[in-house]
Amino acid sequence: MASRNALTRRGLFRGIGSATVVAGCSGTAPTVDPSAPGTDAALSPGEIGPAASRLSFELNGKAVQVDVEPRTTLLDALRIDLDTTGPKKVCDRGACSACTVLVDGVQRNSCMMLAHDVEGRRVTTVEGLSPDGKLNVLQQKFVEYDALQCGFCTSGMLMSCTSLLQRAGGAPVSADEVTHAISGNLCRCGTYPNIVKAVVAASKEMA
Amino acid sequence: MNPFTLVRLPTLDAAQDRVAAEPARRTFRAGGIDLIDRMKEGLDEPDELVELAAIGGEHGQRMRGIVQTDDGGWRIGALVTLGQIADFDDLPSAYGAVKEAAGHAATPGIRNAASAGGNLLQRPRCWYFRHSDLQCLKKGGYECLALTGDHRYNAILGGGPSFIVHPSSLGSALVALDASVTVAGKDGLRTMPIEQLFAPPTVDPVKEHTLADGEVLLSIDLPAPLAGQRSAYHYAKEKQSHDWPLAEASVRCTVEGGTLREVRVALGHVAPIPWRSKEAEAVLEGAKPSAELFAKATEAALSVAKPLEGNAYKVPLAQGVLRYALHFATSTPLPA
Amino acid sequence: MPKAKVTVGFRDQLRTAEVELPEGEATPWDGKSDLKVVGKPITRRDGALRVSGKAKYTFDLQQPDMLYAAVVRSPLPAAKVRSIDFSAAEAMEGVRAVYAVAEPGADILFAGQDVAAVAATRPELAKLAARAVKVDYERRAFVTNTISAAKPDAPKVHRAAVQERRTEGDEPGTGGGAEAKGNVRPLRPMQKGDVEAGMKGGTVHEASYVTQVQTHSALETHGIIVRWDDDQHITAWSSTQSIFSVRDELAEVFNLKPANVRVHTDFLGGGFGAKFGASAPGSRLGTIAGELAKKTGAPVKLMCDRHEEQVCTGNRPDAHQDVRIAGTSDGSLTAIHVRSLGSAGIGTGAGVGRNAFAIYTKCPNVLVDSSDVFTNAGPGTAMRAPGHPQGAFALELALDELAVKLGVDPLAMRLKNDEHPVRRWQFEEGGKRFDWAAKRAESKKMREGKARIRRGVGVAASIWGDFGRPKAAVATCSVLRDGTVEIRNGVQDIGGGIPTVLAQIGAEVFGRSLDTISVKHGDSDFGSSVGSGGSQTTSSVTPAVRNACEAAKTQFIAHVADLLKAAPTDVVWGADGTLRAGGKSITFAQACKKIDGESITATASRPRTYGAHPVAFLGAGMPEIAGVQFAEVEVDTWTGVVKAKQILAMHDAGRIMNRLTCTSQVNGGVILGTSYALMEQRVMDHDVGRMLNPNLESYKICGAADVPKIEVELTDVFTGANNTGAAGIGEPSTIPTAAALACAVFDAVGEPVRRLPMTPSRVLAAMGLVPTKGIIG
Repeated sequence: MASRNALTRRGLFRGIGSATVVAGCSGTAPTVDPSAPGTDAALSPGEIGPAASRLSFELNGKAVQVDVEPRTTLLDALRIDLDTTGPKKVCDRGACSACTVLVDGVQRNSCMMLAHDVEGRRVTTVEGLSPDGKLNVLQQKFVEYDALQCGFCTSGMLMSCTSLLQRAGGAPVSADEVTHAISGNLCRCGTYPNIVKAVVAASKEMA
Repeated sequence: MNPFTLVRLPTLDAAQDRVAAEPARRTFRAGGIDLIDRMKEGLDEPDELVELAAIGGEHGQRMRGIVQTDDGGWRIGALVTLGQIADFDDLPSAYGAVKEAAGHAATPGIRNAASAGGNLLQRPRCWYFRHSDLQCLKKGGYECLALTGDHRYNAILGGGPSFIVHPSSLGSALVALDASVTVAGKDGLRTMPIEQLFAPPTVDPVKEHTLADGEVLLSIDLPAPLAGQRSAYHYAKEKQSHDWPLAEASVRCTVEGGTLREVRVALGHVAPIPWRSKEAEAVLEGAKPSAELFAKATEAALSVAKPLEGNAYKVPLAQGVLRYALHFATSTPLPA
Repeated sequence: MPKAKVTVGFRDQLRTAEVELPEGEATPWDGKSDLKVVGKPITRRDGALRVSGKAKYTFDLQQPDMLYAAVVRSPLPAAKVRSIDFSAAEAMEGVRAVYAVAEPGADILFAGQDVAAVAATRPELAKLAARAVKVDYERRAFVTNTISAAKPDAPKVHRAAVQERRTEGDEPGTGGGAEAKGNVRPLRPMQKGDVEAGMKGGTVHEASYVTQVQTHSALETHGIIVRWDDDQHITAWSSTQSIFSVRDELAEVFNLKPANVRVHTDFLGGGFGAKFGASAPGSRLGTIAGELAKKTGAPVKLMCDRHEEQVCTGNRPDAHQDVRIAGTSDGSLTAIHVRSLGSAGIGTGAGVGRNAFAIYTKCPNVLVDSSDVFTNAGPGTAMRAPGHPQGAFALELALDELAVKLGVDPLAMRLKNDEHPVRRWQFEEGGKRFDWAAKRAESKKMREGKARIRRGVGVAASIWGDFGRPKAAVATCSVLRDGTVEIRNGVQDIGGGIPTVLAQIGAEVFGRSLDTISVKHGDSDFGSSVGSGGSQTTSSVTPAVRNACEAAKTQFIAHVADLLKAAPTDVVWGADGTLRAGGKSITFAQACKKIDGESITATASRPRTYGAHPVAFLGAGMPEIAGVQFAEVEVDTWTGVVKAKQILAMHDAGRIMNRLTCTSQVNGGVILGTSYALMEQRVMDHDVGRMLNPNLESYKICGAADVPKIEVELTDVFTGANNTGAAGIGEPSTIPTAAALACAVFDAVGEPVRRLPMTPSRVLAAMGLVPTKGIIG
């Protein structure tokens, strides 16, 4: 598949720290590819729960702390405990990607993660794409191309596409690549064609 | 979900002891995708999740990496994600089938979490199994509800008494690539052909693998590629975006002087285990690749099918999928 | 009554018509109006909120001390409740209240029906407590299969009389006819001429066509937050496409004055017909949340999870249509007879729309005879063009099958029988643009050459009415001292972008830029409005807003005339926003500052629909909306996989208000139709009476890779029917898609797939490739 071959692991390295990284996700430039095999450190030993316990992580550039039980998903912790409701609960089973967030820059379904999985990590939600209140290029293109209708899938779409643009490392992306990148994101209003156009346009503008 | 404790132990031994002591209420967690799904449905309600991601040292390293081994093969750790496999450039193209299978499974977000080991050991997707209200054979009930119910996605090969299809896409690709797996058991590590990891329902209808309680899948071992090795993976789905395959096929072979050698054929999502087709291999081995030969081989592969009334369509469909995989693996032009 | 000459029609078929304008009605924008803002591709005004996670949907809201409710649902499809034991649930962590929805003795009619509910401090605690409620049931016989249920000896689904539940999403003029016999309840037939005589006059094609149950699957599930402000006042936040039906239902259930119930829907995550009222079609969500809120004295939030959404919040009913259609060798239709059985589960409204009756109007003999069949399944409800996609599929595929028998080109055959001038243009122009003749020749070649990958094309028609409602929408326009023009109306935005269109109306009337227009909506205190159903929102609300704006403008001009000491008729409104009269001038901003009090305000509504051009829908006083879609598919004959390659969607929506958002809605209709055609279906196990795929994994909806290339052609049709000329587009745009795709698949493989969705299994079966021997079980 041409779409995926273009987004190789080397492509990932290209994007790191580049000036074209989507705003809000630049953060601290990691020195190694966070999604490469073998780079994950083992989790610190210990037992958590079943009662609520303190969880600390970085949410959209700010350090946050929250007391949650192990059974609380990252999505619920974000939405209920941290009032970060950009990520949506739609299927709650990893089938729709409306809950997509970036964890250390890697696209994840927050409904299938436990909140305690992000201890000490960096979480970016759609709210983190425009921390200063100014829409980034991708968000602007979504509005310009009417890449949203009811808007309930939009947060997840934006995060999947943000991940794509980061992986592309500043190179323009093709319509096929966008289609592949959002293959797990469901929309019921029919915004797919405009999303594809918006992301292609954003990538050109950012290149 | 019911309350539970997350247990993070630094060594494999400690983690194994923890689970083996009370396997009914403790379970390992790798990527956690299938586990959390089952827990949300109330199908599994463990008190403790023992996290494989906490295991450090040599075993932890082995589970997390993709490395070339001394014999020229490649070892994929059980905790390596599907996304990492799909995007790993250095993995030789001879193993294309496994990269393709990993890259087409699930969604981008899930691929970044779902581990190779978890993919091989996940529970079936059969909707009778997944429905919290229904007690099917897989859950200790009396009968396979799919047999008499809606079995459009169920097995056409090797079914009975359960008619699930094995959900792992990596499975058929790894069977075709002649992979082995390394398992940490009570008495240390053992390596076995991957086909021995999978258990047909005749062995135990409530379990799809051969691991004992407390055993951990550590890695997948790909043998050094044969000279001129090629491989291909293909699938058909009802939906072209994220969906489970209706059938998939993986092929490994070499082409020497215009003749097929070392042919291995495996089908996925058609049987309770990743299904090796020795019938197809027999037709192909030593023959000259051609569209006609492939049509014959796919007929042979499905000649042993025993479809149910509602899934007989999978017979021609699986034939079609395998035909594609054979064409792709051998770079034989497709008929118009 | 004042009369106005308006230019009506479309493209080069324009003419002048005289319409009688109701009192106070602004002169309609017509074919001669040169509008500056209305009709332009304007981006959504709330786009920034929606792309930054700041838009708060009902699902996102929390209230201080809020509790979460969870519902205990029957796992059985038919039963009697013997007893409910809450003791274990009440003892659980965080549980604050329990509520029995069904009393002992109550009938359970489908799996998923409300039985009881609990409220707890967190959603997961509420869910676990609901699981701990013990309900003792007496099992009863049930039937979930439509055809089985229609048999005289089938278990009877309803023991009591059936209440027809109608919403604004239902097409006006449809509904039940005769009494139910067993589980079968006939709908009013549509009839003209004598079909039996017509059959004798032509070659007959006869076949059965089956469509599946489709669920709405809006991404935001149904849900509501109810807060009692005191014992006479409720504030609710609802995921609804009809704020005012939520208000009225809560008022009725809790015996309150409607004015004492305030409902908010700032943002709505989709509806598609299932979100009318405080209850979902199969679950009394508003009642449950309200009762639990009353018991606990705390706001209660009740959101369905995806499983609940799939089984008890409505669906598009299935249809089993026996079609007989006859025509002569020149392609003229002589008779159409459709006999349909469909099931809306325990609900009503499983008809098959107007397609067979009212599109190919040259056919003199038509009979459409359909019946609801009750089954023990969650109730159907209005879904984007109720009945029509089902009807279109059967009619259009049958038409193509007859065309093959007659040796007539399907497009020519449609032109032979359709009299609607707009649709005729769409067929003709679309045929050229789509390269119809060349593509048909190409697909024939591939078919005859037994190509591995085959292409095929098909075409199908849409029919809908302009159901814009009089009086329902009351809008207020205020010119504020700070220079803002504020428009208020309670209407919710289902995703069509109505606030943006209302701002365009304000900007057009006042000649002001869009950023100076404020639109307040989504609140029942902002003036009554319509539900987002029947594709009526734009044509109901925009005329009311325009009337309010025009009236406020008239007052404002009088105010300016006072300031300039001139007669209002002498005030000239300059393009630069300066107002001039008798050599004096004042800027708009200066004039606003001098407003006495807060604002100049006018309130207005929309009168009845008064014009009708070019075709009155079923002879009623409303325009008929036309649409035609051309589809191209690719079929892989090795696997049976169908890929929708391309759709050309030619649609009329009266005067287009916003080309950008209107095009998006058509994209949405086409994609929903593609999904319906190729993959979606509720799978019910008829032995256990449960839905097997109550999720978004095995209930499959179109993803990005499944979407065809879509080209949208929006034809402005000037009707003089209301003062903005708006008509609807949401529903007509999804009607013909599945039908056109089915015709295209028929063209590609040469065999019809008479059952939706057209999955690989059905395509392979149609091609005769599925073995029938060697099957076990």
